[in-house]
Amino acid sequence: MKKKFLSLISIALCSILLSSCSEAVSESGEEFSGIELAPCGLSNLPIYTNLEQLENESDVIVVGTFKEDAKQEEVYTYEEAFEKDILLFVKSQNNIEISKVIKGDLQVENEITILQAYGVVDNQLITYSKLTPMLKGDTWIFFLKKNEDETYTCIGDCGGRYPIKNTKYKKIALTDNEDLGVYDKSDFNEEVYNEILEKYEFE
Amino acid sequence: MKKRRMLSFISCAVASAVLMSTAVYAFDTNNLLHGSYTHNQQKDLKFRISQSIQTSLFDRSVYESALNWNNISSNVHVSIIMETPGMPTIADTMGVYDGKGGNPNGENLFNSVFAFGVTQFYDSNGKVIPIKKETFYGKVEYVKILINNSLLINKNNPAEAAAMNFSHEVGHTLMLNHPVGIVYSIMNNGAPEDNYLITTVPSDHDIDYLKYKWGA
Repeated sequence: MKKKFLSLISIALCSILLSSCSEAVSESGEEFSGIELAPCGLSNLPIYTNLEQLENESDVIVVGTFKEDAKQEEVYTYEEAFEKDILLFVKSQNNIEISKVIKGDLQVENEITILQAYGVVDNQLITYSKLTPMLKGDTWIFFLKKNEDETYTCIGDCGGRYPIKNTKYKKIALTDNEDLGVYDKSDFNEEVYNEILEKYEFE
Repeated sequence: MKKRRMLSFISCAVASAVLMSTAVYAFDTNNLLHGSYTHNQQKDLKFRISQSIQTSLFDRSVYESALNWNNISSNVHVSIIMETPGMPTIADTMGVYDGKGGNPNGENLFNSVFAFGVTQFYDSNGKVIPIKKETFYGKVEYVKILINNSLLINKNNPAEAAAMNFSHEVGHTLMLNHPVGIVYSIMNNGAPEDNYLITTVPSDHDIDYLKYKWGA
């Protein structure tokens, strides 16, 4: 009887210890902790050497904040070579609430949906985008193209989203460049960003 | 004796000058992808051009641009097959599609990533091979190229842009990466009219790296 009681106490203690460990991991404050970054596909991206090119290419230019956690969907196609469905890409979508309109037929407080090709599959962040994930509460300036289904995509992928000056962005375990919004600093267009800061007025 | 030494010295000096004046440079392996094919597919890479990306503007002549990769390395040969209605499956061909990847009712990748083209690598199980920092060591069984003609159509010379873009993507299937530094290369990002460093045929840089990868 005493043995059984001691066993129960031990199990209870172990459970408490384990649960406190898992809380410590999430309390590190880093999104995608424990997830491996898996960039897939090589893209030929349009290049923009100045702000004017970006402005001309964009259907809308807005400042907006991601409203929710992004929702993802895996897209498969049948491939004859394997005689089965294979992964084509993973897409995520999130809504932004607009706080400033620089170009386009939108209003402040409008919400629009942005698509980005990434998602978590089998503990890997599979991404076809050089942009970091769309995190709830983060605010960016967006240069967007409107798709036929009324969603929007960032122009030139990493060329179409820039940080608001002096804003701290959510920590992401996959990169040290979350404040730039890209995994690799070499994908951030510093020249265009300086033009943005000079031309647009931000609070 | 003195004369011999003088002649030796002059010969060495001339040889050094010749070496320094030629394009001797250390290869940067970041210009290459470290993957290879399971069955040496690159010796006879066949690309099946889906009907979804064939138009009167983007016709055979655009996709034949990929044949410029031939006659550089004896271990590389590229050919194209223009898909026609009812064409049966042809073994060992790589697929070239629009953003829906062969499913006309499916989702379009290019609604989620704003690019001219994407090259995707798969292993023998049909699983996508990730590219870590744009280099990878995968054994590739199959590649899929997706082409965004709706973006290319807006260029001043759409056919030239499409031809360059397809050759660029085929370059990736030959394990060439986007080049490091400022070099003339068909593997640079963008379209010819937007990036002066883009060549419309494989440049000397591209040829050197193709030979480095697969042999002369």
